[in-house]
Amino acid sequence: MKRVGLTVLVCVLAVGCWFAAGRLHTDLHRLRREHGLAHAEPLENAPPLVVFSTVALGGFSGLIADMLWVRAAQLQMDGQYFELVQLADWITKLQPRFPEGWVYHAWNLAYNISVMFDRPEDRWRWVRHGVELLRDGGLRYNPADPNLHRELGWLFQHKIGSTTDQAHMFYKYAWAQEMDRLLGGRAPDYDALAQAPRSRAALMAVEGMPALLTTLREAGLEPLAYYGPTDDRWEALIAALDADPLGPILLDHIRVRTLIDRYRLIPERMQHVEAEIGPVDWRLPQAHAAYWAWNGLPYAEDFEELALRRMIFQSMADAFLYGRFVYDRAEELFFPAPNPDLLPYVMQAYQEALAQVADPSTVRGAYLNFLNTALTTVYTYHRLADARTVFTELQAQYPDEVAGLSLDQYVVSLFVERMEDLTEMEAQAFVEGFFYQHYFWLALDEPEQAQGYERLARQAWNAYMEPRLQHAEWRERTGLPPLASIREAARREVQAAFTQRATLDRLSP
Amino acid sequence: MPTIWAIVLISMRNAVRSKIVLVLLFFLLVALIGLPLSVRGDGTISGHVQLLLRYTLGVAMLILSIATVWAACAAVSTEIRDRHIQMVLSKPVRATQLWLGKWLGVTLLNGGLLLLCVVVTYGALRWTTRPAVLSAEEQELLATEILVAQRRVDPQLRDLRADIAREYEAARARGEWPAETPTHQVWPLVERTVRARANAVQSGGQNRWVFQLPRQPPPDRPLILRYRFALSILDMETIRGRWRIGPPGDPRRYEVEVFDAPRSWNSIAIPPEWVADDRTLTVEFANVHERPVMVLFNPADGLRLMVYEGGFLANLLRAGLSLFFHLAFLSAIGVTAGTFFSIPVAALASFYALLLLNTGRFVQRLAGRGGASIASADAGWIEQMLVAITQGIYRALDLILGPVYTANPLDLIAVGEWVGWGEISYQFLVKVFLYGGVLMGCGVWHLSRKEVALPL
Repeated sequence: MKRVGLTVLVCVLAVGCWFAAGRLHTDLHRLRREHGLAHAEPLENAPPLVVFSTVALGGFSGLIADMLWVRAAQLQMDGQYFELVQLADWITKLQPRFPEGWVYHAWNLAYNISVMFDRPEDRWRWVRHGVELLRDGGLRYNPADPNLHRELGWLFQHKIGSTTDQAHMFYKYAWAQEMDRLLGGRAPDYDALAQAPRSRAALMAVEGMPALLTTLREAGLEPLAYYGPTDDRWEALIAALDADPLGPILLDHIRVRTLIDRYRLIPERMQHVEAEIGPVDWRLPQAHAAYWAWNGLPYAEDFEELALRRMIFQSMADAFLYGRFVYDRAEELFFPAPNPDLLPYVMQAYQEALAQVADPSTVRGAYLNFLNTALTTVYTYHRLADARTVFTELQAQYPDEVAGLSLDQYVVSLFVERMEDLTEMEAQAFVEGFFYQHYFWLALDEPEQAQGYERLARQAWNAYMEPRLQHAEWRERTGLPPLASIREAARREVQAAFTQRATLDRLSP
Repeated sequence: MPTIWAIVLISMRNAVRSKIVLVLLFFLLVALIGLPLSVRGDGTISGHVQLLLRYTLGVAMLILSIATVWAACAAVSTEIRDRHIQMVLSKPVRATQLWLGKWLGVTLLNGGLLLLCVVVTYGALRWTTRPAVLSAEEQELLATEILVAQRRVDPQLRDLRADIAREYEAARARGEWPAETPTHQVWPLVERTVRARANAVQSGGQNRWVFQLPRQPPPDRPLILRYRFALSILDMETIRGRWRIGPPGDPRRYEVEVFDAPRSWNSIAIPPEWVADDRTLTVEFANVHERPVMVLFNPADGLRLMVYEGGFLANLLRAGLSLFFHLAFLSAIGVTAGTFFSIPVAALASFYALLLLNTGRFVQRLAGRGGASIASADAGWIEQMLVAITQGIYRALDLILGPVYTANPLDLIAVGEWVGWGEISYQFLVKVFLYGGVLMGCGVWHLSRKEVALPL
């Protein structure tokens, strides 16, 4: 009896201590927050594995993580990859506050394992695993780590955004399709999302909303399951919402929740990034690279800050070159194209950087490269005012580069150093290529760019033929066919590549 | 016989009453329910099936192994400790009957739990891969390539002895190693080089392998050629190649153009009609990649042919049977250890044996099988002697435990490989009959001589 009483007493004491420790814990967290002792919030609502590993396992969690790491390395060597997502998840969650672990595994999944597959869709799955590991795990447990922001941005900027991977176009297309379905265009309607009910309670308070939800459920759809744009049911849901006057409100609620919960994109921050770097296209990876870099800036110092700023900077330049989403559903054509609207933003960013950095020589070189690329781009878009702006800037910043040349001469010289010295075949290929581009963009209903290429074709033809017009023999031997003939050849070639009636109409002579 | 069954029942009852066993069974329940719902594959149906089978049954097997060892150790030692055994031994019960009864009790109990695990895992697998949650393509893949049992056939080994001898002599003549180097140190290296060369495909060249099938394959199931290669360059370049299937010189040979990434497993389906009447299948790989690069198939496991043998469920049950024999072996270790020692010592000794059984590869490596000596060339005599003693111990361990290091059937079923009756018979003969018999002999011998009625 005495023994039972003692046991009960110990149990009561243990529960009392447990309760008291729990009460103290809350105060300790509050004090920690008030005194700014840690950037990261204490783990709340974390999955059981994370709570167990951080609280119960203590130092042993590192040992288990090591064992799992060894197993992951062995499996990877044996070419067995199916288990690595789970192992990476466990390893990182055993030590959730160890950012290097997240970085390594995300990079391993996105870079090392993805390239082991030859099918683009398989590669994309692994790149996504890498992105999700950093975004949904790493940044959740280490929200104030600038390196994790930079690594996530790098996956968008380099792995998806650059051309180093054989399957890069597939990545871009898959991501763009996903974002296009979610956002319904280049960017979300920020005003609509700002007014959208953010919580379920707010949504249910909208008059008529419960009835709409019931109707949708009867039709076999569950809107509050937030399917996400990659789910087959997404299109059906959008179509069903189209028919109801309350549909837009529910759709905005779903969009805002999906953006925040699934993609960790906060609409207000997206809008702020756009205000900073210009009207970027959120269907393309450069915008996301800039977003994550921008999100890491408040926590970054010294080198990390420089690296994040450089990422924003490079993403802007990339967005100027490839930051517009061109998608022809009928022709099933997708490619990223230049976004000339970003020109003033990128120029301003370079100018600010020139003024800020101690040794501007690197930035000067990068700025010259950008201005040359920008000039050829806006010129081919027939945005002559922009071209003149860039040329004026070149004259001001780099007078030696443009000395003695007109705008047209300088542009042609950028395409071909000395057009007149080309062989006949090379020159014809250039002119026909420009005409091909002219008709290609015409087919895609992009008249500005089409006009720019036509102008360039004429410039190139003139540059090549001008010295030959004085010498009949030289012209006879190395002259080009008439401009109209080259143009017609290019038109026919482009025409053969398209099938849709509307497209072909735009190409008729 | 009824005597044994009475002991079996007591043994089962005692095992179920053990708190440790109950805790382990609770973990087993959590694993069986939780793992299928929580494990994350790589997003493919194949990855999901592999992960679910490996993790659920793997964790279940680990828990059952611990539970079996613990219950088996406790079966005799706690009865001696609590003096319950006197009630049994005072009856006309032979030591053999006691040992067998205890062993059967623990084995059958855990065997029943294993069967439950297999059934639950199969149910979870079927539920998570039900047609409603899979695309038509995934369902097709599941039915034809994943939930099947395929026999693995390796290519016929070429007789390279003459080539190896020639290469050895040529390299020795060139003075590629010091003259005093013993042949047994150099020969394996030369052999490895020659075998690697025999499985390489030069740029613009081709190489041929022949598979000998045990029987004609079913006419409605394609054969799957699985292969993996490395490149003579560091780049992860996707390689263009051409597989030609069928007798050499046949102009109608079946051809498949592939574009594969190195170092990962790739596969092509081969119509079964290309298997010759003598059950051989000839495959040829032509390296037609634009850039000059050599393609290297690993001689050990670079190529394998998967031939349909039967359904998945039967394969899963065979794998379960194989695992059951392993549990029976562990149970024999535990019961015998329990006759010799008190429960903590018996459990410690048994878990050490369990550890050794699970580190087979490591023990083999330390035993120096197929590898170089672990003593450095300039080590002193004491160090060399210590290394020799250590290696001797590990060699002895390898000799004793080597026969029970067998392929894990879970690894086989997870990738749809056939668990053969030959393998199962081997497991029964070695683990249950031979080793189990030896352990029983030791246990019975000791039990019949042990004084169990010593005063406290």
